[in-house]
Amino acid sequence: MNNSMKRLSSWLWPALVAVAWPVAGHAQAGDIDPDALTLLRKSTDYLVATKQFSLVTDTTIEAVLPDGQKLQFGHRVAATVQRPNKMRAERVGELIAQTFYYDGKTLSLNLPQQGYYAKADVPPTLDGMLDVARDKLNVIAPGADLLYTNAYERLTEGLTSAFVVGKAVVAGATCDHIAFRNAEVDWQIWIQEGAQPVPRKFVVTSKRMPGSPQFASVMSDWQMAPTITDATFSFVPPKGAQRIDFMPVAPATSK
Amino acid sequence: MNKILKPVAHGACLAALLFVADAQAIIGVAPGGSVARRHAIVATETVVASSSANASAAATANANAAAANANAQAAAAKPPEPAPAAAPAGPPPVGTVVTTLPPGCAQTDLNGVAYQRCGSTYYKPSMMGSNLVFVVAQP
Repeated sequence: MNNSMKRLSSWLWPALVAVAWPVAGHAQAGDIDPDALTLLRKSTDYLVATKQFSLVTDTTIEAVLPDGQKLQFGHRVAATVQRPNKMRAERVGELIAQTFYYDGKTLSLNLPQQGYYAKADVPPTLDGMLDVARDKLNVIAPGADLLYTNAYERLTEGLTSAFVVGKAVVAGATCDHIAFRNAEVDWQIWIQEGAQPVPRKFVVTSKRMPGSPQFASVMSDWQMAPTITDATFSFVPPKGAQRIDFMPVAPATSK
Repeated sequence: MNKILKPVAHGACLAALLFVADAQAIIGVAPGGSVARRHAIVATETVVASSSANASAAATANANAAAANANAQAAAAKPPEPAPAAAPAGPPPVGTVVTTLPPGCAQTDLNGVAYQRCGSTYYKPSMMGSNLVFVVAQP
C-alpha cells in the first residue's frame, strides 16, 4: 500500500465504522425486531390518544423525469388536528398558498391568492375524510399514515423487516431511528425520546419505481395544547371568492 | 405558454401526471415554472414518490407509475405522427387541461360558472386534486 492509499484508508476508517456500526448490530436485518415495533407502537398509541395537537411539517418529494433526472419539491404545512373529526392544514410556499378546512362534515380548500375555493361533503371522521379525500378527490395529505386511528396497523401491514438503527438527533431532538421494509417501500421513522414520543421525521423510499424517489417529512413545533378557535376548522368563503368544483377522479391508468 | 397549450392531444397525459400520487408537488411549480413547460408533453413518464408507507397505498402508487411507464413505452412504439403543421391554428379541444391560462383572459360568468374567456376559448377553473387547473369547456 502506498502512502496516499494509507492516508486515504485512515481517513475513511471513521466513516466506514460509523456506517457499519448500526448495521453490524443487526446482522439479521431481514427479521422483524420486536423492539422496533414497540417503539413504533408507543408513538402511534401516543398520537391516537392525543385529542388535539398542532405541528409544522416540512416535506420534500422527489419526481423522476423520463430521462432519469430527479427533481425535489418542498412544502411547509402547518396542521392542527382535533380528534375525532376536525382538521386544518395550511400549505405555504413560494408558489402555493392553500388552506384545507375539515369541520366534521365538509372538506373545503381555499386558494386565497387565486380567489377560488372548492368544497366537498366528506365522512364524519378523520379516517373517513382522509380516505375519501384520497380516493374520490385525489387530495392526498402527505404522511397521512400517521394520522389514522389505526396508524400502527397501516404502517405494519406486510412488513418484511424492522430494526432499530440507533439514536439520532432531528432538529435538536434526540430520537430513536427505526427502519422498516415491505414489498413496496422502505421507510424510516425518527421518534422523539421521552414522554412525548412524537414522530420527528418520516421517510418513504419508493424502491420499485424507477430511480427510487423518496418522500421525506420533518415534523417540528409539536403543540399538544394548541390554540383553537371557532375559525380554526370552519371555512367562510372570502368576499368575492368563486366556488369551483373538484374534478372527478379518473382512473390513473387512463392514457 | 405555447408549450403548455401545445400538447392538446396530450391533455390526458398531463392529467395522468396530476393523478399520480402526490403529484401536487410538481404542479405546485407549474404556473410560470419551467418544469411544466419543458415536460408537460411527456408528463406520463414522470414518476413521483409515494408519501405513504402503507403497503397497499404504496402499491397503488407503484401501479400508477408502472402504468405511466407502460403508456410512455406504448407511445414510443407508435409510428411518429405527421408533423403538426396546421396544429397551432385551431383552439384546444374541449376537455383539455392546462395549469396556466394564456394571456389576455377575462372572467365571464355564464350559468353560475365563472369561466375564463381567452379569445374564443372558454376555460372552466376546477380543482384537480389540490391543484387549480383550467379545463377547456363549451359553455
